[in-house]
Amino acid sequence: MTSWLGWLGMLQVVAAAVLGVAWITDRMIGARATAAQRRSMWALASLIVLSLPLARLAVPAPTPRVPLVIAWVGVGVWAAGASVLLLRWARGLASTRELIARATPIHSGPWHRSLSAANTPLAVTLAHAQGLPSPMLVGCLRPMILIPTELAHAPASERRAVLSHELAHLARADNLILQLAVLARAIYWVTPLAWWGLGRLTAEAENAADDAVLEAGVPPTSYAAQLVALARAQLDRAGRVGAGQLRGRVEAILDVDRRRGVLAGQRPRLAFAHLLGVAVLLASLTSACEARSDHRASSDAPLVRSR
Amino acid sequence: MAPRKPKLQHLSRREGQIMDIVYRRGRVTVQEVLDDLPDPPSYSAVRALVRVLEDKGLLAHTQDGPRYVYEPTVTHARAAHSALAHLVKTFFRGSTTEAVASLLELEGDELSRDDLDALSEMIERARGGEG
Repeated sequence: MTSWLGWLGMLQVVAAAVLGVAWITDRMIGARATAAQRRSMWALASLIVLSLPLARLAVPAPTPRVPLVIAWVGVGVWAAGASVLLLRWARGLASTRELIARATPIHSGPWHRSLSAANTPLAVTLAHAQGLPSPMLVGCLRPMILIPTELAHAPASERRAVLSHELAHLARADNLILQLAVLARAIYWVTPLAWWGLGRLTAEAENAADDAVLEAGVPPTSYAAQLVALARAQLDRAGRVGAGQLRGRVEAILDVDRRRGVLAGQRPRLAFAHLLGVAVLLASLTSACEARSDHRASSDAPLVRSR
Repeated sequence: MAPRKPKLQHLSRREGQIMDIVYRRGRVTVQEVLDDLPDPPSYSAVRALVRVLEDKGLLAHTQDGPRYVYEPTVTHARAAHSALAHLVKTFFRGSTTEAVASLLELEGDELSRDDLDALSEMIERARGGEG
């Protein structure tokens, strides 16, 4: 059990280092990069830390000199936290499946026409859902855009904004990457940077999708007003509304000096495969370097001659 | 008709602050709530909020001369238990939208109508600049 604690501890340390590098890079590049670029960087960091456990299986870890009971407690605390977060993740997946099962597919009408007009090569279906506070993209293998029934008769400009936003998420496989980032946070929950990284990935994914809406020609003030109207409708309906990132997004949408750029269209699975491939490669390389330096250290250690 | 069971979980931030004051003091008047509230709104706003809490079944009043005195209808222990149950329920319910790409995530710190009005004003100013 103490060796497990050592392996787990080193895993957390290496993950914290990877996320720390991502955080420093985020601070350094700041407004010089686009939201899409910052989002890609955080997505890559999340996938690297997710790949680490497999990559590090063969890397020897130091065995801490602690009583066995401490080792049990340490591993137990980590397992308890990870289990709660994994349970929450599983609950989220189940809720999403329930949402999809109750949704009414859209095969005709204004939303269907707007999706056709978007002329997207991406495979996606549309459906109406009751009681949804906001349109959302769900499903990884069979993506679906869920539209609240309250927006069934939204004007064309609003439909275009919603679809541009959600299709931008789909083009980058955000629906899949966010799920994996939540999984990574469950494994590395001990590290505050894992929580911070998920928050940054989520925020930049939204900002990048907002940039796509503006690139599609929707006026910034109209789009910002649409988001505020959604929040107001939720306040009227439910008596309360959470801020989410609304303030920051409205400011970013209205910021005329902000650098915006939409990554060239790529099939979502290809985009995701690229990122995953780079992440696994980097995780494997760092682990291989560490294993090699450990091997060198043990090879260089002087032999103890027995008398 | 059976009396409505008070719902302890759907309280706004301000309502939660008022209930904390009521539990701490035991019996309160509107003025006492106003005196204890951090960054308080007007007297009439506090009175309206106290009435909302009474409508929700969380407070009951008795007449003490010219004024109303309010007491909680639910014990503090039950309130704490319910708040914990609500926290657990919210933690798991929030998982639905956490890893989903929404147009607008509406969780987190509460936004007031004033906050939304301020955002609308910001948009209107920008609209003037768009010309």
